[in-house]
Amino acid sequence: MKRSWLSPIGPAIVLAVVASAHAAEPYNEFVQGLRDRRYYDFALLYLDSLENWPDLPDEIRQAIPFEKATTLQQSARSIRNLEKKTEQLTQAEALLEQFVKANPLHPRAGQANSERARILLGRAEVETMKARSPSNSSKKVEFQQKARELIKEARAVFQDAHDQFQAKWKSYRTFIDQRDEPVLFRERRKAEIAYIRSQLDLALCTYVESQTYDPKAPEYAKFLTKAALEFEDIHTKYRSLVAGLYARMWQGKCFEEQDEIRKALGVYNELLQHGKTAPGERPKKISQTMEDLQNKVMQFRLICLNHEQRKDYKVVIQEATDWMRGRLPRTKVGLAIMWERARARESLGKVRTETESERTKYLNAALLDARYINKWPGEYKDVSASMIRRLLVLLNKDPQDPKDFETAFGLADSLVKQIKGFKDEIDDPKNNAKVKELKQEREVHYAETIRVLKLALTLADDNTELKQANRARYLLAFLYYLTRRSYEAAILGEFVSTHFDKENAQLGLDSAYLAMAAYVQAQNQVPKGQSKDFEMQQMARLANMITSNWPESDRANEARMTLGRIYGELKKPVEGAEWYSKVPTTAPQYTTAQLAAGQSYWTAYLEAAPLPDTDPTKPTVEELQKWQDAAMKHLDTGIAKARTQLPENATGTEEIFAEYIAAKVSRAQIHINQGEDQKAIDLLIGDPHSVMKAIIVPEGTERPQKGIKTQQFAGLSYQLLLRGYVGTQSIDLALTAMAELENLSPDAEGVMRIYVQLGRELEKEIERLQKLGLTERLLSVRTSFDEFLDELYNRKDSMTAGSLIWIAETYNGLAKGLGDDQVAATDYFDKASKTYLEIIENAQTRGANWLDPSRIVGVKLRLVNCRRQQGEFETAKKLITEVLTEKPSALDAQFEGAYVFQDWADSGQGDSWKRFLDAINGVELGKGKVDLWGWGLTSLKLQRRMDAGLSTPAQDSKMYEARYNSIWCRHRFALAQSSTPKRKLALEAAKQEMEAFVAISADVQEQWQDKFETIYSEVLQSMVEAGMKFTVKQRQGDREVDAQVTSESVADVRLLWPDPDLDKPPPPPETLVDDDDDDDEIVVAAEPPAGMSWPTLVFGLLVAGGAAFGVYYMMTKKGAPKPVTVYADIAPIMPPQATKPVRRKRVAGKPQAGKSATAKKRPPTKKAGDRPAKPRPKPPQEQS
Amino acid sequence: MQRRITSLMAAGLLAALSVTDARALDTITVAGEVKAVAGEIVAVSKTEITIKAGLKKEERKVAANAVLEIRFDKQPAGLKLARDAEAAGRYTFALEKYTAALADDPSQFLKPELEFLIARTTARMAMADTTKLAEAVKLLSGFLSSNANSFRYYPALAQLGDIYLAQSNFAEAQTTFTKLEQAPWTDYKMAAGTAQARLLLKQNNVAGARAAFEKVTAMQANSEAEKTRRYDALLGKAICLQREGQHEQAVKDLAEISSQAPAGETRLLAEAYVRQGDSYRQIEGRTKDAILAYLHVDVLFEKEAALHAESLYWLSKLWNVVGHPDRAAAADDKLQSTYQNSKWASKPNAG
Repeated sequence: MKRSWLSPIGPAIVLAVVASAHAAEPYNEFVQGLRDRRYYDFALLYLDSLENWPDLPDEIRQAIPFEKATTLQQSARSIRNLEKKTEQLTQAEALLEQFVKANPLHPRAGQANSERARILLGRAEVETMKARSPSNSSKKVEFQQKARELIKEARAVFQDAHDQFQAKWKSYRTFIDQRDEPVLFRERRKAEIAYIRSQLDLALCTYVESQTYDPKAPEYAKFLTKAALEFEDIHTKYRSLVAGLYARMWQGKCFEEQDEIRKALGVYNELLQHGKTAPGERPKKISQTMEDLQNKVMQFRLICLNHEQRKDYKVVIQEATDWMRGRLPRTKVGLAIMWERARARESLGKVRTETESERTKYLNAALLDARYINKWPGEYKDVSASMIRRLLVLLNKDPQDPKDFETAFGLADSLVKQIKGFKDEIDDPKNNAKVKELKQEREVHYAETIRVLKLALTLADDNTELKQANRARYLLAFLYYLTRRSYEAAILGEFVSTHFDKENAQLGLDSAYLAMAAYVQAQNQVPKGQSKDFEMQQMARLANMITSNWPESDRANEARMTLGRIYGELKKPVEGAEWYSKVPTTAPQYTTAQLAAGQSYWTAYLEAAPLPDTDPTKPTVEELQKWQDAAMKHLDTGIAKARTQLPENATGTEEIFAEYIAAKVSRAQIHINQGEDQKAIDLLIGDPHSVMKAIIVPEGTERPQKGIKTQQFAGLSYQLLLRGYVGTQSIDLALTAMAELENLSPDAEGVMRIYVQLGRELEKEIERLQKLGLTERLLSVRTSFDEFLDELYNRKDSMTAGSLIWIAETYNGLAKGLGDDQVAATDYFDKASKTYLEIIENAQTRGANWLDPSRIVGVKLRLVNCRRQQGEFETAKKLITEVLTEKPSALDAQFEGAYVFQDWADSGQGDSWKRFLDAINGVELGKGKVDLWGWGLTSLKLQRRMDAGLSTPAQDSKMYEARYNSIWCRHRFALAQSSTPKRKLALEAAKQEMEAFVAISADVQEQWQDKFETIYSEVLQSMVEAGMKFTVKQRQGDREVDAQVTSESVADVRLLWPDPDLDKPPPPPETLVDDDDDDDEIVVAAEPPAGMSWPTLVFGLLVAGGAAFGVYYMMTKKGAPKPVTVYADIAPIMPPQATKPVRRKRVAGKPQAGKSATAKKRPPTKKAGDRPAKPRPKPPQEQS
Repeated sequence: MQRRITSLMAAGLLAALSVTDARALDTITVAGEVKAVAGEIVAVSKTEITIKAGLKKEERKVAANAVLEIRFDKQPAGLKLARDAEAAGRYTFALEKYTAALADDPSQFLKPELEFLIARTTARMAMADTTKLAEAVKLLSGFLSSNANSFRYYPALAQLGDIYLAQSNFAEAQTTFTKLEQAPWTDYKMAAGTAQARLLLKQNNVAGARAAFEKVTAMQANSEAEKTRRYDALLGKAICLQREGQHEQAVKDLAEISSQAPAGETRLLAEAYVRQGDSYRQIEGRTKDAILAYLHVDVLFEKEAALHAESLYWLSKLWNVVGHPDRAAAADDKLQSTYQNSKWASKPNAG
């Protein structure tokens, strides 16, 4: 084996490891370790060096040739180059022979013999392969003869080994009890396995020998029949062992090669059934060995299906395609299966009954397969080359690829022009039934176009016209874009733009724009849960490049719009607004840009206003005012402009209509924010283009899933109108608006959801007014609501359940918003509780028509929340027991229950601190002993779902919330201990839980990382204060070290979040199997669909491509979010998720009770096949 | 009459053909000149080519370092194809054509040119296929000993030095680069300086190497060739910075190269991107930057085989990190199928 490529560092490593190995003498383990890591060259160097050691034990020295041979054999398996492989196997064989001759009685002599014979047999197979190769037809007989000689030699060795193993196995007693004589039992078992293997080896010799004859030769059938019998004998004896199943497979192969296809298929089908379960049953795990066997069987089965007797070509294509899904096709069996698919496709391409276009499709697909196969050395190399030639002839293509740029580019250009035809066909409703096939066909066409374009660029030389070469590059970039290889498209586009813009400014601009579009596409492909910042930065960079280099172009305005959106998505709405506002008045996007600028400023205002004064990022009051003013200015400009552009009787289908209506809704919200309730009402109901008219759908018509007529947007508009009427004390009009709101939802669930959201919005408004110190306005809002709610409550007997829920939720919202004013908050909580109780009682007396009984549990859960907030923990406990008795696995209820115990523990009431353990570990509740899981079990269950890949981002957040609360409770429990040793013990437990969690959590969302850092820091601080001596793992350069924590260093300690490990392989599929029955019971509440603030919703409408705004997604996607739980009835009454990471004011050190600290805006998940987000690059046809 | 006219025309055509045929036309493409110099090459030395150009057949001397390409009179038809193939990285095809041309009894000046081209192509293949290094040494050494007066003398020296370096044969590399330093042109002196710095680097003398690279970057670079050599040295300096752990600074230097070096300097650009990828891998949170850098080589500089193989290796790992195992597998697939004999294809965990 040549080792010239070894890096100079190699010997150093070997010397270093040799030295250490020598000291401890772990020779075999060490060599095995190197081999396991595929360091074959180092293993050989090590073995070389061992030979020179004077004090090496004899038994180790004797085994060196054997170890070298084993290393070479394993190395050969990883080599694709046939010559190198053969060279290494020959060396290995020689070493094995040397070993056996020198040590005939060595315990491993038998094994060495067998290994040597297997190498000989392998070489015989290579010779057979050569004999079959069309390019070796003149030497066929020579190769066949050589193969037979090798088989003869191998058989002799196998026979010796067989006799030895048989004798050894027979030397043991027939019955050995495994429990009484385990060592002897194992030895006999080992001997038996070696004996079985030797039988299989001998039968394989017979089979391989058959392959050295032409199929028409009598010897061919003779040896196959003999082999079949030998395999059958082995299978009969060992049918329960894998070796027996292998024998069965080879028996099937013998049938197949004698054209007994039906029998062969019977055998293969039988083998493929192993490990399979009936539909509906949980899939069984099968061993790797079994999987390898079944893969091979699948290959053989496909050969049978392709056989002349069957011609099941379409089945072959389907099964091969299914098999290849998620697998690497370049393995030996993978290539074989792809080869069968190529054969099937070629055959279908010649079937006259297929249409010409179908035939062409199959031939093109076969060509793609054949070209892939042809890249790899091995038995299919030559045959695939022949197939490629055949297919090119059938496709009327020049079997030779073009040899110059012009020809190749001409071909590529014509292929690009055909792309539109595919699109037209796919878009044609007539072809709805075969869209999938057409798309597959288009993919094949894309692949060929890319290949030819790359070929053209390879052929470009000094004589190639630069313009043409760059057009080829642009087209290639466009093809990459179409095939969603976004980064490639971006790289090529940017390359053309930066290097050749002087030669062709328009192409430079278009290429830059394509690059930007490619990053937009890349952003949409970022896997769930991962940051998109990189793609956004690249988009921003490209957009900046376009606006700087081509400031006057239309593309620059599109880029400005894109930048506006990007900055919005990067949570920098002010920067976004600035870009929107740079779109000139002359640009066609001006109106849209003005509306978007206004929405962005308003979003910025609403996000920043509630920040606590201690937050360093909080802008000054003047700055906030400036943003509000800018929002008004741009919205007013945009609204005025849009009004002039739209006809008075606009139908709603006009391009900017939706943005315009949405802007009016935002502007109305600003009016309300400023106490101008009447102006808000006027804007909403006033003509022309009344918002309230725009959202109407004809009676009996279903509301669409996107746009301003969606249930959600209409709901928000009515809520705003209702809010205006509350402000103007227009009770009857408000009741009408509420009735409209209720009409929007076909079911009580939807009504409840809307009312809960209303409460939440009010809570936010109150918080905001408090934060901004707008006391007067706050008082005015409260007074309006007090009076309004009192009036409504007086009419409670005539109210619907939904309206009462609205009253309760509004009181709840007022209470939570007034967190600082405990007296007022308690009063509102009382009123909310009273109303919830009213609802429950009414439900019992007024029956199912008034409120579906199954919904009472949801109302109770809200009541639990209220009681908890009021500090009435005993009552809360009683209620949560009732809820959990009815819905023991409802996650919302489990969370609320844990919060009850946590808040109770933290209330300082008597020895309540003991309840921290109940909050963590759970507790049995009530006479029915219903389980409250506690934070520990809850987080564990959610963690398992997450690990199994079954969770949604919202559920992941719930897991973090549960884990965080668990650690928080441990910390508080520790601090409550009066005994120092107990406190230390509890603190240590909190620290350990935190560190253990971090060690297994690679992708924790950033905001949660911050929270965990904080709680960890608090725990460590408490440990230092308790006088504990301890260390933590910290990173020092590339290493992790144990660092002592002191009062000086504690502030610098950081959690060691695992780095993405470059060497870490993707998780094996098995880890995705959730085999823990226990987890199946988890029921996850439906995600609240409408947790956004109004302006964000409104703004979302304006976002082209809708990449990041949850409600926009909600309004544009094909279906509304579906509850994922069978207990969806609880969900609507649960508090909706916060729209952003919690910034809620908290009692010092207290976690987020009753309100998810985890929720955040969910970016829309684009599905494959969805329309790509704007901007779209210009199709090639439009290119100059 | 008609017949006579036809005969006259034929005679004229024949005469024209014979005149054309009688004029031996070698064509030299000279750096910085728009029009190629056509005429008859009459003498060649390691520093210049003498050509009798124009109607008056005046002698003109072209500096060897300014020669971009020579088309020899009566050169085989396939030679241009072969050159283009070599430039595009299709070495096997190029080698076939060069070898065929050499077997076809080439002219006095074409023969050494073909020998050089064969040696250079083999050397380029060897950079991605280490099994060919020894053969490359043999061919380049053979060329230098038999063609000490070729205008390809210094380019062959540079190539040979690189091969020795790839073999870690430091002594021979040093000797070769010292000879290269004797070239009379600034760009070659800069190249020699850079080569010696690389030699130091390979011997782990990072500080010495960095100083040597900086010496070259400080040199005045006027011509395009000199500017390119400066970028070469800047690349070397960036590698030293990487070895010193100064990845942020290295990235800045490398970005200067990738944004400013001419598009035609494919090897330089390809290596700049690969090294950028290397640095980004070392900077926390820059995995996607690393992917983008390596991907530049895959998309734009595929013909730079060794660097392409290296890029594919890293892509096969990094795509996994950002949640695209399918793309990681595709990169690995390409690596294994295109560069079976590359050290990157047989690296642990590849394949």
